[in-house]
Amino acid sequence: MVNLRARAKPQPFEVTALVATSICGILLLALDARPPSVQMSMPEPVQVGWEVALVIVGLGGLLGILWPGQLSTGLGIELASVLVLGTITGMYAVALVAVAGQQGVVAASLIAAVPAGSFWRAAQIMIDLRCLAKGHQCSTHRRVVGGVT
Amino acid sequence: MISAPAPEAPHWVQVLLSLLGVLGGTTGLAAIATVVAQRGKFKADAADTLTEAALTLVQPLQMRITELESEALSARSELGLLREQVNQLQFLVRALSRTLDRWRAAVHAPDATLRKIRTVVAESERLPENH
Repeated sequence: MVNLRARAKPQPFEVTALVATSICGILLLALDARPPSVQMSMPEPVQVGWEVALVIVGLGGLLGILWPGQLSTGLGIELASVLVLGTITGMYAVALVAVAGQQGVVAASLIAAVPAGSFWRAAQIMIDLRCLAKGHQCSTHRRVVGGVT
Repeated sequence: MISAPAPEAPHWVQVLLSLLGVLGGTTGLAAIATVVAQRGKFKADAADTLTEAALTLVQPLQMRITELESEALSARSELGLLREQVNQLQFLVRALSRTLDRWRAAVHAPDATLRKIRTVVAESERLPENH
């Protein structure tokens, strides 16, 4: 009758950021190119991990959003992806500031918006998960109902 | 610039970024591990939530259905009653029209006399009592 598996509306900024992150990581790996700021400010193993994390986070986050199984599992995967996304974009922002200084103000501040948004979303997901585990009259519940009607 | 990454950033930046990376990675893994470990807890409650949501949707529909069902039941019984009444009336109309035909025939008969007509009427007056 009605699709009870409806969930929250997709978050456009999050989804685009995740898609862009995975594309960016795949391109970096395929072209074997690294931004100079990353090369200069991270040790070699961290650089490799950073690149791989870009791909994993992007694809993993999309997987979590599109997760066909339990809502909480999908939210958990999304939470982990968003946390790591915030970390690696934050690392890049720090690297940009450290290497480019004042010249990188625009790039660094715009990129720093990604970790800010990511951690914000992570906090949202954590609240939702806690609601799923405990309360009934919480935002997730309302969202499930709201998504259905 | 890519070919010559000679000028390295200060050492503390490298340490800071490495720490950040390790911290973020472990946090992400911990998040996944926590959710996976507590899956059972989420399972029951997620089911509860969905059931509640479903209930809030289904309850008014169910009430409406029982309402309509009882309405349909009463309508059906009323229909049976009416059909019975119609049958009785039909039977009565048929009997009456037969009587009328007989009387008319008696009246229009070429050799009609008042006595004959009276006997016909007297005969048919008994008929409705038979039924």
